[in-house]
Amino acid sequence: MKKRTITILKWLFLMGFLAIPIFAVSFLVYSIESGKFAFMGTADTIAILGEGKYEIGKFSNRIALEDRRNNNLNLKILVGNIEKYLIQDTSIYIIGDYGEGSMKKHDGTIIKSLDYIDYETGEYKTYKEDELIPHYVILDYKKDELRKYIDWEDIPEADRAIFEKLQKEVQ
Amino acid sequence: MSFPKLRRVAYSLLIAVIIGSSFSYAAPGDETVYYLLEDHLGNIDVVLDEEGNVVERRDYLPYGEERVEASEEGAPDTDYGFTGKEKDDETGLYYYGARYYDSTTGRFITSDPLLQRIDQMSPEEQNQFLSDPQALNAYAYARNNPVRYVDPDGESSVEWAWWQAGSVYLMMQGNYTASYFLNHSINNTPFFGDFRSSQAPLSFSDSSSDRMSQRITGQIRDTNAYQANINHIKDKIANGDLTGIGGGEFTKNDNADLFYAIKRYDYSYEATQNEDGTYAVDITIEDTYNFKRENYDGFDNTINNIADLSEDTKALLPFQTTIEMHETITIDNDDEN
Repeated sequence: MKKRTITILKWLFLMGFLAIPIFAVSFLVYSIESGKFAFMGTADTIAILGEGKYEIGKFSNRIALEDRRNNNLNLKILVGNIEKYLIQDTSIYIIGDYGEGSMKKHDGTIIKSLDYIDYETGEYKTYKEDELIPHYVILDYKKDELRKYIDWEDIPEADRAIFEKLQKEVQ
Repeated sequence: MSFPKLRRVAYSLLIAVIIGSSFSYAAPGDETVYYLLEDHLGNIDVVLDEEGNVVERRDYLPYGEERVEASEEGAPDTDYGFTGKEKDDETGLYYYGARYYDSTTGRFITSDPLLQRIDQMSPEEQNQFLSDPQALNAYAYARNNPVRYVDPDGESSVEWAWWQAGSVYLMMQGNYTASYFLNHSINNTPFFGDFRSSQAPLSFSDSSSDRMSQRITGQIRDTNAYQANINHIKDKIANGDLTGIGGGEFTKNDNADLFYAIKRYDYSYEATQNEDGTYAVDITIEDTYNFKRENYDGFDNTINNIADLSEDTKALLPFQTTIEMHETITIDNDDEN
């Protein structure tokens, strides 16, 4: 192989060596500047439903369904501790207590809340100490219709089949 | 092939190209290109000439002593060998970045810098650390399992450089908090078999004189999200709830720095009434800095998806953040129910 060919090959190697990190760093900078390729932060958003009216978000140690219809900054949590969820057609099926739920603090203590959002009015309400809390929630995010059930038997059969699927298949 | 595996293969190819291009050998006056081929641990075990002929074969004992070296005439004289590291001609030691390694004894000649930072670890990390006896051997190579592990590996180093660049850029843009958090997440001692699953937690308080504490708590206090939390807490106290929890979210418009660093958070509060009728409220904001995603949802989230994968390779480590805020809240008679 001629010397010139070797020199060209070496330059190609060098350019390849430089091009990849230059491209990588440029992409990173462009991502931060443009916000087009979500840089951090948005890892907290798991799903946006109903064109932004609802979101499933990752908080410190829990996953929650948020009501964003009022579009104000006081983030309203509909289901505070989602155990399992499944999005099917225009509905989300959730296993988890309807309400603010509980928070596990950094020192391991768990603080429970009895607050919940009245879906119709958007106002905060409080469960009584001995009140049973709905554990099965179905939200049609297109029609803005929310159903919640305490007892398994009260769930319509078609929906019950979806919850059964959810319990079996979704981790 | 799954995406993480595909990415690892891509990284390996990239590293192979970099090593191949960097280590080509040229004799003065008559340049010849040689190709150094590696095994799964990065050991240089075959050297090819430019026509693809094998001109040298090498094999190593587990801790790096040369077992076989069969060279043809004209084979290159390269210092790179065991795990692709450079061997110092004079001392016979391999250079591993932070330390020199002696393949004859199978030990580093200086102690592991990680051990010197054990007091900076969280109790959980210390427990994890102490549960692995090999971790306590300050001079051991690859946790005394050199057939499986390499110390350190090139893959994490590529990611390390990428995220360092991100951290520096965030800082240049004035997003100091986000830069600080990302920098804290970057694993500075990456190698296969790293025992840690998280970084030490970060704690800040508005009553601390620490500069970062003052910056973060000041930033938070200026956000609309936090003010909305305060209003909600005020309503709760007016209703007689002196303790409670809630959630919040820093948006990009509200404060881009906190958006990149925290975004969603949990908070808890505890209020006590002062003699003058006001309430002293201790608010604890908590967040886990991590990148785990439910799925790789599209090109728009490329950076987050890459961050998630970097968490798998432990180039980035998650950590817990706690921010203590102290407020004095006045409840108007009209607010009370």
